[in-house]
Amino acid sequence: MNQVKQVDHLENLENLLRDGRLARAEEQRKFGSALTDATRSLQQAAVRFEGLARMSGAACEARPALNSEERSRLAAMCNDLRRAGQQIASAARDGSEEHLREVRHLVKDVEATTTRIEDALSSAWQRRADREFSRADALAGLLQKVPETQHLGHQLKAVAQKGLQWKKQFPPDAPGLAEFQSLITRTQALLEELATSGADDDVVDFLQATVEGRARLNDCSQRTRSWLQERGALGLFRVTLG
Amino acid sequence: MSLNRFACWKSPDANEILRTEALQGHESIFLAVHTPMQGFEVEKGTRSAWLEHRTERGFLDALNREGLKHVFAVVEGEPGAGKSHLIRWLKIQWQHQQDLVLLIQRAEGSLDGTLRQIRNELAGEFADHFTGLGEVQQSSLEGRAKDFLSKLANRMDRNSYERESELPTHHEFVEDKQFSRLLHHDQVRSHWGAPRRIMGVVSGEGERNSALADFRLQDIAELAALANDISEVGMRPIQLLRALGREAKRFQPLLEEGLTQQQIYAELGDEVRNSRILVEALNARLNSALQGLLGISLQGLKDLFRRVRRTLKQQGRRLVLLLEDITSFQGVDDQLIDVLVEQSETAQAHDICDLISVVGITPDYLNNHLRRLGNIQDRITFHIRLSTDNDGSFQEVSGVRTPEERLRFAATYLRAVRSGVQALEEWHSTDLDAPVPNACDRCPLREQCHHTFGAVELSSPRHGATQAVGLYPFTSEAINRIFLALHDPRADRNLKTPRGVLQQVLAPSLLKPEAVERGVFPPPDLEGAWLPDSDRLLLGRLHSMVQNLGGDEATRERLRRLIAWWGDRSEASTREDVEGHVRFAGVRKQVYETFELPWLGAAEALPPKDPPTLPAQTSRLSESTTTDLVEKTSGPSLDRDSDGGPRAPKTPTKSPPARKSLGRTDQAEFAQRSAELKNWQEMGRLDDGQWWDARAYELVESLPWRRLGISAYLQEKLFTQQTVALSGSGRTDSRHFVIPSESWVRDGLESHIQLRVAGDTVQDAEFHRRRVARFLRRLARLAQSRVAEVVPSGADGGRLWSVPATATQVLLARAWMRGTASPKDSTSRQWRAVVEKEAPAEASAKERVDSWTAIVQKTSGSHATVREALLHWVNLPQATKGPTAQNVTFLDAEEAAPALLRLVQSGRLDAFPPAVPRREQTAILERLADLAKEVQQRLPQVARRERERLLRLCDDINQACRGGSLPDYIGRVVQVLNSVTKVCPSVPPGAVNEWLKVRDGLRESGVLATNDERGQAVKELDDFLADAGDSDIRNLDGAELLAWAQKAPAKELGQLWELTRSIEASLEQIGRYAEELVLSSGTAGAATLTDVQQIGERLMALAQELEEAIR
Repeated sequence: MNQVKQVDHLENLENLLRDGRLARAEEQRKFGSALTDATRSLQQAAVRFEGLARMSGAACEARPALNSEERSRLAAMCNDLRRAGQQIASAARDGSEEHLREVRHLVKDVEATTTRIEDALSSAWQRRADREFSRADALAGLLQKVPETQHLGHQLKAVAQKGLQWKKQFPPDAPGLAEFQSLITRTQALLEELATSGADDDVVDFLQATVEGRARLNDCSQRTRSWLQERGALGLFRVTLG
Repeated sequence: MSLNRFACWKSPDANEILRTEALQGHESIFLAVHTPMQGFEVEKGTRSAWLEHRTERGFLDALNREGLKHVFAVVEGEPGAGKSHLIRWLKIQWQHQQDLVLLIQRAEGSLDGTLRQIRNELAGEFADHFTGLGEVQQSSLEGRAKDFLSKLANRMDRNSYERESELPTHHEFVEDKQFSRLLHHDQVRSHWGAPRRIMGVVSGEGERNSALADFRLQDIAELAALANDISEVGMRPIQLLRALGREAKRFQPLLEEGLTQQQIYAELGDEVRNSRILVEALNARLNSALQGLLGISLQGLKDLFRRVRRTLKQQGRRLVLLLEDITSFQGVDDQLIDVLVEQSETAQAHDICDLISVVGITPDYLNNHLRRLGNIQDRITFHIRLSTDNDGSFQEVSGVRTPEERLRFAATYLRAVRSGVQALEEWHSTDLDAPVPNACDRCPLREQCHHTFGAVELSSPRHGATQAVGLYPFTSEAINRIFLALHDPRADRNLKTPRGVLQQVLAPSLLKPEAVERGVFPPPDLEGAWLPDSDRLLLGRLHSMVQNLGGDEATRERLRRLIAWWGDRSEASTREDVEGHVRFAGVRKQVYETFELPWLGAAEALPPKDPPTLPAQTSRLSESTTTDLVEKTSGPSLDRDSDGGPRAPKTPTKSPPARKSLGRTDQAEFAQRSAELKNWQEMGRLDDGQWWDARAYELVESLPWRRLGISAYLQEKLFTQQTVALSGSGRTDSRHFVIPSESWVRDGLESHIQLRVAGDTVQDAEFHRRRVARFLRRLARLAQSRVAEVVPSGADGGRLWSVPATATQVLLARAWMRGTASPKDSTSRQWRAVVEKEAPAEASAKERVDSWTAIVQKTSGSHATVREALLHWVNLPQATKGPTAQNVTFLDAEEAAPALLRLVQSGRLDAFPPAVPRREQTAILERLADLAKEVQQRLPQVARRERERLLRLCDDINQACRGGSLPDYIGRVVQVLNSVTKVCPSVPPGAVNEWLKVRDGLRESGVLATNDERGQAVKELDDFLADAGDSDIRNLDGAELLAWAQKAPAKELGQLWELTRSIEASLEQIGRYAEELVLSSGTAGAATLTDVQQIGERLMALAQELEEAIR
């Protein structure tokens, strides 16, 4: 009797059981193209799904830029996504070919929703970046002209420029998000440093409004005039009739 | 003047007077030799009561009784019993002159001749009545036989009969079998002898002697023998022939043994059904066919007699028909009987005369023909029988039943022959009332003659005078001895009849008086064909004495004939008889002198013997000691039994002779037996073989068997009463211990018989004892040779085969293979396994290697018989009678025990013969040799082969276990296959079912058990598997190896091997499926449902996370 052949079926079976190939093969045999299609569409959408994770991180940063309406719309879209995920999971749990064939369509819906979310968040993200780094950038240019704040102006200018670079990168990856948050923090720190040099809020606001072209003569307070004067910077300003 | 060469009669007179046929013109002779018939038996008839005296005269008176208008009288008797004589006497004595007395003699024996007699008797005024009564064709017998067969064949067809009522018996059978086709076939017409024989009988060919013309079983056998030459007659006749052939094989041996047809029918019943029906069918059509040949219509004979009776009625006369032998009418006998029973008193037949008919018939005809004719028997007026039943054989015939009757009958003819025809005619013509002439009355030698040869007193009923009629040249012994010896070897006819006395006793001597005159009496013609050779021989010393006598052969032969028939063939002594005559060998000295024969007797005679007291089985020759009737007036008659009635002589029997037991024999019996022995030696045939075989067995039984080295078993198997036979005593075959017909055997047997005879001389006894001793010595050697035939040498030649040794070894080998004994057991235990009734097998031999199984199977059918034979063989009988006979058994293990030890040591059987002759009684020896051959072919290798088989099993199982333990392997398999079938529902159901069966098998086998006894058994099995590779096992041999093999868990291993094979088969089946499934899915890394589910859930989580992020 040559019961044990070159192929040891006992060992093979043990392996197939152990690594799940047998179970998969069995499901494959059972659901045929339904599972294949569902799997393929899921695999294709996987990157997008993982993009949602990145969007979640960025969403926190973008959230301040969202208005309530935008938030409500995003919340609805998130709910759609959750429901789609639930349906996909149910299709697998049920082991129903019909439900599996729905997965592909669900995936398309999910992709569309994801795009819409991304667009909304991306917009909010840009707005947040502008808010954090565009004024600082302009202020930095003005500060660079003041000898006493020239250095600070250079620093702020560099941070703001970096921050503005993240404006188009949405969703950022985790390091990007971290850098973005870091740049915000640095900007805030430089501005606080400016404040410690006597440039209180009136000064900063006046300088900021000047950079934005909206400063009015009466916006320049005495304190501001003094701070400019002390730093020989009054001559840098010209009065024009608006 | 002396009796020497004196013949007191003339040959022509003897020739004329001793004729038994044709009364015409010889009334004087008839009356002269007529002996009044009396003492016959009367059977039931319508007027039996009128037969007041059972004598011929009483019969005549009854026939003539006044007012009796119709008589149909039957005189029944064996051929030669005197039927014709009585009927002729009636003719002579018939007193009514007005009657037309028609005597139809059986002289010609043919139907043609009989019809001619009727025609002649009725010539003249009745001649014109014969118109329409045909005549037999004058063609040759062969031609008539063929015509007869053609007519017979036609009579088998329904178309030959005008009315259904005419169809003879068995017409449906013969039509169904298309029997007529057979009878028309050329081969049957050319070669079947029955028609020729029957035509010969009815044509009077040869001496008919009342023979019946009919078909017999032998004819059917002859017909069946033609089967190979018959074709193109259709399937049914061929099938019939085959059936007849089979039946003939059954009945022919019985016919040869002398059984009658009726006895065969009774014994074989339906086994000879076709033959019986054909015999009956043929005989039922026989008359019809014969009548066709004769041109006689069914009514022809009846019309003839009716016309005659009408004429006689008109004349006021009666018709008296005296028919000597009805068989002479065969062919028209049915019609004739119709004629005889037609009464004149009925209204339809009032114009015909009264009829008195007397018909002679034989018992054969009565039984086979007359009784077939319905109520004819009820119409018999008188039925007398001249012979009486004798145990199914020939009947005893009145008139010659006793020695006295025979002597009286012979003396009547001797008187007539000596007187001569002329003297008788003168007496008849002149003074019928005077005594019949008696030559002795005026013979000068009368006194000497009667004194020497004896005489018989004949009385004349007419005048009361008596005449002393001498028996010369016979004596009373000669007449009776010759008469009693008459024997038809074919058992066709009874010779012990009055006709037998005339033709076979008296005629051979009286027809040749010149033998006396020339001094050559007794002549050779005396010993005719009907005297058995065995009765002619002289016995014992007498034979030697005559043979050693000098002189010419013719004289010695005359002397032999004289002693054989006139004297006592076994009596070699000289004695005085009670009358003072000196006799040698039972013959008076004067008789020797008369016939000029040498006297061999001694000078001094022994005294007379006492009359022997006979045992119940009176010897055949008891009558030989009868002395002359004239002189013997008192003393017990040796011819009478204890009731005083006539003792039946030994007559030719048609049935096989019954085995007789001889206690002490007498001298007469000895003589007869001695003659049989002598005849045996000379002729090769031993009469009364069964009796002799019994004597031989007595002697065989007395041999010193143990001393001869012949076991009780062989003695009882080979030398039984049924198997000990003397050559020529009967049919023998390979089963018989046949003692040859050689002189030492004859001498020994003869002396054995002689020694048992009281009164023998001391000298003779010593002589006989020496011969018996010599016989026994040679018999012992013969018995040993016989044993050597049955029990040949062993295969190594030389030594006689030791049957007990082989039987012991075969049975021991069987015990080993069954596991009821081990070669490592003690000798006593193994011996018990051999001789005791088998215990249930310890292990099934079916689980073993083929040769192991074969030893058990080959011996299973015969072991009990072999054991029984062995025990019988080695049994030492302690007593045949008494209390120890049943209770004590000693076995002679002289050959068996060493054989047992030799088998244990060598593992091989002792030499035995390659073949044993096939014999019914010792079939077990042949079987034993066959068994030994079977065992020997296998036993020496069986343990080694079983070891190889067991180790192969272990290897396979261990390989399946993949280096692990048996429980581990089983556990892995169960887990994997259970999981697979669970994970993978698509595994084909067949494979799943196979596995489930295997799993059940595992459960049943107990290999899944862990804790209980079964678990322990699994552990032991696992240990055995683990030990299987040990070199110690490979090195085992002989008894140790067989013992190891016996102890091996062969059954469990076999089962486990089967299980592992099934397991691996399931693994392979399911494994292949799984592999193919995985390969065919083509998605070795593809997502599963789980993946899909996880993605869905992940999506949900992301959505949740995102929602929270923006909230």
